Amino acid sequence: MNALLACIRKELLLLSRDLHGLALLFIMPLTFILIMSLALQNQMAEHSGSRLNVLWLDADHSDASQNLLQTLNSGHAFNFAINASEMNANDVDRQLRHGDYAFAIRIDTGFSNNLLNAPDDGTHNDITLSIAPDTSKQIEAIMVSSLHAALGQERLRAMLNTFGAGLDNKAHKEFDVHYAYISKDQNIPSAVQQSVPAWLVFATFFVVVPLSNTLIHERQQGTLRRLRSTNLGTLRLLLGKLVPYFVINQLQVILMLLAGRYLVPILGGQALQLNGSWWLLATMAAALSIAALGIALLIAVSSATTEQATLLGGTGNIVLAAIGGIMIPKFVMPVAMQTVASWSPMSWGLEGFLDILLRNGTLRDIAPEATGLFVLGLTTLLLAWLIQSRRSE
Amino acid sequence: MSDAAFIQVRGVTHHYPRMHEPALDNVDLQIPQGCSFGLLGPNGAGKTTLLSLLTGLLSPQAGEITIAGYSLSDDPPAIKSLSALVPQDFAFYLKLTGHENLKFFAGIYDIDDSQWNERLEYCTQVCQLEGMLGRRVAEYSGGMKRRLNLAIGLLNQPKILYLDEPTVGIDALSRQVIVAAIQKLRTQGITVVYTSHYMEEIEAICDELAIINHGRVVARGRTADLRSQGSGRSLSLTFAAIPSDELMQALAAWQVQCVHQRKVDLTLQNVDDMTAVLDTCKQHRMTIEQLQFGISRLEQTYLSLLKENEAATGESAT
Repeated sequence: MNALLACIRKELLLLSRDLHGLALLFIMPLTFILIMSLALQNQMAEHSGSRLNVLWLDADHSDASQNLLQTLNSGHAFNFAINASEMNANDVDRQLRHGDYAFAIRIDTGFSNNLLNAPDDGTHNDITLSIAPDTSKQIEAIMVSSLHAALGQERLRAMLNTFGAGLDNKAHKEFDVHYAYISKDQNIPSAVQQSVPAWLVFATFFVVVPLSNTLIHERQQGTLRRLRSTNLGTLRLLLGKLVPYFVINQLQVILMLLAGRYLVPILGGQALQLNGSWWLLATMAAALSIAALGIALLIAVSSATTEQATLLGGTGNIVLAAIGGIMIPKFVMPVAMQTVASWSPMSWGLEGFLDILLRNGTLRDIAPEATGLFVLGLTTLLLAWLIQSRRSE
Repeated sequence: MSDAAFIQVRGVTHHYPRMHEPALDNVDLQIPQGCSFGLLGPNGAGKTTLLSLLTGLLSPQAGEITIAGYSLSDDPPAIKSLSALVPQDFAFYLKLTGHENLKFFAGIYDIDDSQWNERLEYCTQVCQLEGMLGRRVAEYSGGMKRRLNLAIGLLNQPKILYLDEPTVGIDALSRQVIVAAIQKLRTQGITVVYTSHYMEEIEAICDELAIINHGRVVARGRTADLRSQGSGRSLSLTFAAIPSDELMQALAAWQVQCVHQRKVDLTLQNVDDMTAVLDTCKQHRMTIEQLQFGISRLEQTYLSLLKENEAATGESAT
């Protein structure tokens, strides 16, 4: 017991004096969480309340054009800047290129009069939709379909007017919206709800760098030879490395969750909602740590030099993160890539945490991911132990 | 020093995978308790392999090792608890202080708090580490690191101390401290197994020694006996200037053993040869600053034994 405690204390002391290792384990993921949470806020616009800016140029000044604006505005997807002044096409294009607006909608004089007389040949329309160069195709499609729907409503109103009937301006809620994720305070996730678990998982796997550096230095400096000449044994030697890094992993999880909860809001982002039970989070964190430690130890015992281990561990982590939905969310990947992603242990970890934090998952929900991580961890640990024992012979 | 073999090595062979020759080939050694035993041999001769076998880091593929009555193959923990290895490298943590390193290894040796202060004081005093232990080891000089390396080896009060070139690459003063510390350990009855390339250290420390070459024991015995082998006919000359090629050719008739700048060692057939050698030097107008006859250094014996062994190995190979 004395020997194991001495090993644990030694590893923690060494890590506390390794500024690069500490930065890699704590500062790097924290930076990613802050940057990504704040940067992705607008991407998840419907969740954060920010909307797409649209320049509204109304030369018709009619009830029909006002109704059209009101209908488009009722969707809460767009933020209209009403500009009554005359702007030519070049001015509008300049504004769009400048990035102030995603769209510009120009209503020409005569729009209301021509509502029921759309030109057959398509040579001229009273409405022009201009699109900024950096507006995505998906957003463009949303705007085009919204505009079609609003115009259809105005045409219907004009048609009914000719028959002496009316159409009220009240926004009709024709269907309910339900978000499949649940949280205690709100039922919609924020960017921080996605990025905290992602970068937390990423950071956990980076124990490979300090862990392998220490082990390889011990081997190269003859310290391992000296330790093996004592009665320490391979099991206690490896446990002496795994236990402190397991504690470090748990500390990472706690700190990243706290950063999402308290630090991100200070910087203008939304606070992380800590949903699900603590013991589920702890189970997931433990499973993740065992997998990360298994892979780290396997790389450490298999590598000849620290450079080799850092290259293998660092590059491997980035690849696992890229395919595992850490850097690019899985839902934007094509189906084939999503299948590939499901092979990354980082993806298992991320999905497990998202199950708890976003989907209010139960033990049954996280069981596949947690089991996968446990099995992977135990297998790699066993392999590492075998390799280390063989090296000892 | 007791005469009974404390360390018994019988017919030990070890062959590393993918190597053509065995690192150790049918080695027999007996080391009495309390003896300071030197292992001499060129690089790659098998010294470190033998230390690895004695400390239980490797298992012999043939033969048997018993230490203090315990068989290494049957009871390695008992043997490991009796001994300590001081490797050739700085086998500790540079980012930790000297005190933290000693505390860590004390934990590894299961030294409890009640013994810790006493052990720390002993190691600090023997290795003259007073006032240094609070500093990080990375800041130590090479000599201080060597002393810490030795101090760690003394923590568990070993009955056998294996020292693998413990003074390599350090200044004369630090070497003197380490040699003095090892000589002190001899007086405490600790069995020391020592490898070094510094012959004067071996002569100063070791009661007995074995010379190993190509994994075999070429010679073994008391240091004084080995040193005196062939000493009767050795002549060592130190010239005032570096000897010319012509003089060296002329001296070749007397088996030149060693040439180092102004110094030449010869082996004479008889005492009368000395007059002929001095005449030759006079003919070539070389002034002799120093002359030693009949005093052999261990290095001479070592080199001549290695030469003989190389020649014999070459003959047996052909």
